[in-house]
Amino acid sequence: MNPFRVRIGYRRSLIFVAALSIAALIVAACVPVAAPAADAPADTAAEADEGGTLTIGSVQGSAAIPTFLPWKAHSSAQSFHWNLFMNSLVMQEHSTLEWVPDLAESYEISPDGLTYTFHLREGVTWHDGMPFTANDVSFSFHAALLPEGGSTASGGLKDAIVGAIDYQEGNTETAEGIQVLDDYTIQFQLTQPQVTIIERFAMRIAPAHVFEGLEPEEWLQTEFATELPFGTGPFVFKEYIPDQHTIFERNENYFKGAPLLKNVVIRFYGDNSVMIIALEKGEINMVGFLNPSADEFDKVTNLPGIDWEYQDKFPAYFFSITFQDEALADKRFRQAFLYSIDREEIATQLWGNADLTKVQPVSQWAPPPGVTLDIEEYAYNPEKSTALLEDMGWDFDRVVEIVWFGTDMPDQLPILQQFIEGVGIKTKLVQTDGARGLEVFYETGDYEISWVGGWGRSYYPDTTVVGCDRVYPNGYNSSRYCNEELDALYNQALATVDDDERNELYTRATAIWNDELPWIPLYAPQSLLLIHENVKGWRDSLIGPEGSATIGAVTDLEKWYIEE
Amino acid sequence: MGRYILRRILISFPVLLGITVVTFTFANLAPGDPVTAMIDPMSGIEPGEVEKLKEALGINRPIPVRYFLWLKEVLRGNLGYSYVTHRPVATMIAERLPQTLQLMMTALAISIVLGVSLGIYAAFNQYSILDNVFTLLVFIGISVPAFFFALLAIYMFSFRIPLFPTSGIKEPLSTLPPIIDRLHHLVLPATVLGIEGVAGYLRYTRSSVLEVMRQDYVTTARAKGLRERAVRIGHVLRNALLPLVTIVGLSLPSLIGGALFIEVLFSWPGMARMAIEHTLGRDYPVIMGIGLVSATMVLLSNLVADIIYTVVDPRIRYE
Repeated sequence: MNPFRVRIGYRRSLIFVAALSIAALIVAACVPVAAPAADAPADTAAEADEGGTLTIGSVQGSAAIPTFLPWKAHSSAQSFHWNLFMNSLVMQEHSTLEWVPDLAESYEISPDGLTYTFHLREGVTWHDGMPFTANDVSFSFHAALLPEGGSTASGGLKDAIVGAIDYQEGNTETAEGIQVLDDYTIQFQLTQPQVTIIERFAMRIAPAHVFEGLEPEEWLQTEFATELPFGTGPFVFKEYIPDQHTIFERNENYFKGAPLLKNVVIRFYGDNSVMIIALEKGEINMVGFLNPSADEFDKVTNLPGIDWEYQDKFPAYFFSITFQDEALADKRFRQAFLYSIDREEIATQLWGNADLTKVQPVSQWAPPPGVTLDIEEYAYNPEKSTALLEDMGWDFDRVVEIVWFGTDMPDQLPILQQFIEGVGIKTKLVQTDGARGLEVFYETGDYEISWVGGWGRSYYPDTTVVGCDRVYPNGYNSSRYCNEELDALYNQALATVDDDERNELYTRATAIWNDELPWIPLYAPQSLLLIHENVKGWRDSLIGPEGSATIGAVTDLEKWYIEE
Repeated sequence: MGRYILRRILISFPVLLGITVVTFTFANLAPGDPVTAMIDPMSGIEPGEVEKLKEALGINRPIPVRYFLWLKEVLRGNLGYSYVTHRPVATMIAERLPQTLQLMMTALAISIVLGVSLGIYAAFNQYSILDNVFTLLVFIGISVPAFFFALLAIYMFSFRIPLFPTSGIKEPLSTLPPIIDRLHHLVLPATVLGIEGVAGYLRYTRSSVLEVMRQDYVTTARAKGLRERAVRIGHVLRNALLPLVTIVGLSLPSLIGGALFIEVLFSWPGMARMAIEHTLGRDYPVIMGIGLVSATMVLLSNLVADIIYTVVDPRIRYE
């Protein structure tokens, strides 16, 4: 008796099962495949050899790209997209880190540092064919002042630009300090000199005509914001499918010359291992910002046919220790804590390399060029650590909680804990949900020690994370540190236009930081860029000032090409 | 029967309402909120903006007020907008649901067809070599974690033997007809997921068939002189496979829930992945939208399973 022939007999239950199977197959065949790109005709393959397609892998999910509106910055995935299809007034030149004009042809800063005048390029067109003018710049910066339009950038602009607060509060039609002088000239008036303002001018410019007649509350729901944005950049945005891919096509009319690549595709993966298989297989030809463990390091740097390069040292890791506890606020405890950890050993074991974070303001792992560092490096020294603890009368029976946020415990944490316990500080690791981060870490500051994984940097450090008046919601001073001298130095530095004078102020601030340790710096592993051998032209356009690649700021992808 | 169905449907409404109250309450009681979930100094959100953002999203209001606002909108057919992506929740679900259904139904079909037929074979050939082999395979199938199996499949059938793409639902810039392209992407995840399910159906079918074979009426049928084939088909399988309807019915809600590991590893943009991402982001409208759709599906599939039971088993009558 062949059991596989039972189908004729027991009618109805089998019919049900069969019907379900058939239904499944029908669904399988009929589910609409997300609309095929209208612009991907059959001859795409034939044209593709001209410059080829660069396919970049990313593991950032759709939640990392909440919008394409340039004034709502959220993740590196977003800025990577923007780099491909948008431009800004100025951009940072990758090899010197100097600010150079982009959509501006040139710009001037008045001697008092209060007026910035941008002369814009003429003849630049948006991808929809409309001309780019100073109105677009004016619109974008006005939009950036309105949180109701999704802006997350208004905090830094509203105090800096004359009349911005009045505009934000609805008292004026425009901000007095943003003046369109003619179609190709725009001027910004600042309330006080501020060197960091140049970073704000790197915000991407959006086309004003798209938002005409819309209320700011509607901007986030536009097609531009959610699925099909456009700009003036080297590539035209063609298709975005969340958690799948984004497709870009060469902009033949790019104002700096048409790119060599025909297409750029960003493919989203749910998992790093699968992405590496896809790279080996050739489904993608580039992966950036990879932080492999020491075991994986050998594997990924020896993949056949794949070149690799160190990238930005990013992100930097820290501990935050509260100042709301007398013993923990003691400088000697903080120094002892840092001396107890063999940072070099951990970093080498975990990543095969890492930059020991200089004892620096937390928003700044590398000092601005020209800042002298004559500081204590806090190399591993358990004896000194114990001596400091004894000197301050540390209670060796006390158990301090180290809180961490998120779902997966960072690999480093148990190792760090062992080192810390090695000098007699008893600790307990406590997990907290990521979404509670703000509450515990910033709002109440109700923690003893907190693990801070992965912070970025800003070019010019300020008081955001250490200032006396920068406790949430005025800043991110989670540890409640307060040193008015340090605040004064930072504020003075930010308002100092002269480079040498400013560097002198930063050098003095750094010395205070180094001694008092408002944050406990650990290390900044170098991430890796993996790229297929057949991708050419990238090295020159990526190598940063310290000899490592920085694709976070891809500035001239238009010079890349694929060699068949 | 008609009255029974009507009654069941009417009862479903208060149940559904209860589920939404519970989901809404728990989602909102969880510490953190959509704005704080986005906050980190790298995000570029200026600290002073946080309160304004909260206000803009309306999450400063008390939970009951927000619940009734949500309910009012839902009754008008509006599931609201995601706090994270600012797209309509209904649109987001409508994009994800077919992908999940496609993957899960294909996998379920594979599980049922393979599991039931192998289970029947194993039962009718109890203690044969193949029966033992199946038992062994089933144990392996149950013990091996899905993600390991998935990675192995990707490594073997996408990389070593490059038959299928590693992941995704669609090749960017593909020149293949969309259906072929889709099927090409579907094979690997659906098979992995389907094979995971085979073990359960096989074990279930095997023991159910064996149990029925020991029943008196089967002995009676044989004593009547019925041919073995008629006994097996008409008496054994007919009875042994009935409860399968319940098992399949109970697995229907998972069809829309999706399978997290598979969706993540195979970059399949389905419901499970969206649910996790947006739950971690405290994206209340999306959490509620998914909750509502899932709850409706559970209630509906239970009802459907019960109705089908009356069709396949004439002994059951609902009044």
